[in-house]
Order: sequence, then structure tokens, then C-alpha cells
Amino acid sequence: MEPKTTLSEASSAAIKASTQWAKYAGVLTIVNLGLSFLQLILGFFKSNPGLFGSMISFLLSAVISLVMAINLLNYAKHARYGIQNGNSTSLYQALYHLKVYFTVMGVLFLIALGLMLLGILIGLITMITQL
Amino acid sequence: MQDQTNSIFETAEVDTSSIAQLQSTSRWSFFIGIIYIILAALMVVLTVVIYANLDQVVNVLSSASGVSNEALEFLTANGKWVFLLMMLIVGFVLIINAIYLIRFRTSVRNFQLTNEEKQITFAFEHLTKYLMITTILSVISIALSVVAAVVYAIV
Repeated sequence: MEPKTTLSEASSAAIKASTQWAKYAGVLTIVNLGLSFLQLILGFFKSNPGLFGSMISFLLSAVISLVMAINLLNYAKHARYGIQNGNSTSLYQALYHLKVYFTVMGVLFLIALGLMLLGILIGLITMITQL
Repeated sequence: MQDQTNSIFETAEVDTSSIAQLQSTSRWSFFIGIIYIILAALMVVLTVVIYANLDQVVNVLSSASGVSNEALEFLTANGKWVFLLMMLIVGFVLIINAIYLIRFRTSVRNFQLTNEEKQITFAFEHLTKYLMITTILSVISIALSVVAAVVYAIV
């Protein structure tokens, strides 16, 4: 028999509160994406010279934002269902989506950190070679 | 009605596989929290460097195209205080976010060590506060995007 921890009323309420804010954050991420798309369209009509770069940057941020928003919304949906119906499988799915959300964010930070360090390294090498 | 809701809450359970997911989540949240602290520290260093070399920064900006004289005058007058305030706010938000993420990790680890159920409550309370800040920041970001879109459409 697999050991299980029964959630108290306080824990259930805390999880439920987190689902509310996760839902808001997820929806707002999608709204933000929509606004970015609107800015891209405006740039298209104004014949912005850097439009191609903007499109690439939008597509990249759209994929990342959508993955994060979908995982937040799935966390909210499954956790709420799991708490209300005492369903462990739904809670597991909720925590899985929460993990994916934080993993994506962590990996993005790792990539950003790597690029930043690479930039510093290139800057240092350039400085040394110019001396 | 209230009693019925409570009884439904009490039947909710988390098994070992769910706890494993929570532990993995908390490790990433700790990492992100540390990154936020590093970013806040870098911002402090950057602000100090810019303040120490404000004249040189203004000279570089004046030679760059697209920066008006009005903007440069504003930067050397009250603009530097606005810049300082902005950096302080951003740094403060980063630190607060980092604290909640690290506390989330600590609570999950305490649950792992002591098996006290109340640690799950603490963990999710910290997570809720983190998500709350994220939501507020998203609202600010949306407001700024709307302003930018309107200005871009008009100009």
C-alpha cells in the first residue's frame, strides 16, 4: 500500500487559493501575447524595417508563453478538481503541470545565464586581444 | 453546506508520486529564486556603476542617434532619480519573488523531513503569494503594452 498524506482543510484551501491566482496568471499571459500580436500587426501596417526580427522574436515568445500559460491553467483546473472531488490522480496531474511550468522557466533562465556568461567571456577575450 | 465542503476537502490525498513532483517543482523554484537574487544584485551593481559614471553615460547617449536633447536634460536633472526609483522597485520585486520561491522550497523540504502536513499548507501559501505577484506584474505589463500600442499607432 502506497503511503498517502491526507490534506487538511487548511492545505486544501491553500491549494485552492493558488489555483485561483494560477488561473489569473495564465489568462493574463495569453492576453499579453494577444497584445504583442497586435503590436506586430501595427508594425506590419507601418512597414517597420525590423519586422522580420520582430516576427521571429514574437514566435519564440509566443511558444514559450503558450506553454507556460497552458501549464498554469492545467494546474489550476486539475488541482481544483482534485481538491473538490478528493481525486489523487487529478492532484498528481496538477502537480505535474506545475512542475513543467517551473522547469520551463528554470531552463529558460539557464539558457539566459549561459548566453550572458558567453557574452562576458567574448567581451573579456576581445578586451585581452586588444591590449 | 459548509460541513459538506469541509468533508470533501478532508478526503483529498497526495501520494508519493505527487510528492515527488512537488519536490522537483520546489528544486526548480529554489533555482529560480537564486537567479532572482543574483539579478537583483546585478541591478544594484549596474545602478551604482551608472551613477558613478553618469557624465560618461550621458556623453555616450548624446552621440547615439534617436536620443533627444530633452531626454538627456531630463536624465541629468530629475531623470536620474526616476531611474533610481525604477531600479529600486524592480530590485525589490525580484527579492520578494525570490523569498517566496525559496520559502516554497523550504516548506516542501521540511515536509519531506518531518512529514508534517502543515508544511504543505505553508508551501502553497508561499506559492500563492508568488503567483499573486506574477499576476500583478502581468497586469502592469499589459497596461504598458496598451500604452505602447496606442502611442505607436498615433505617432
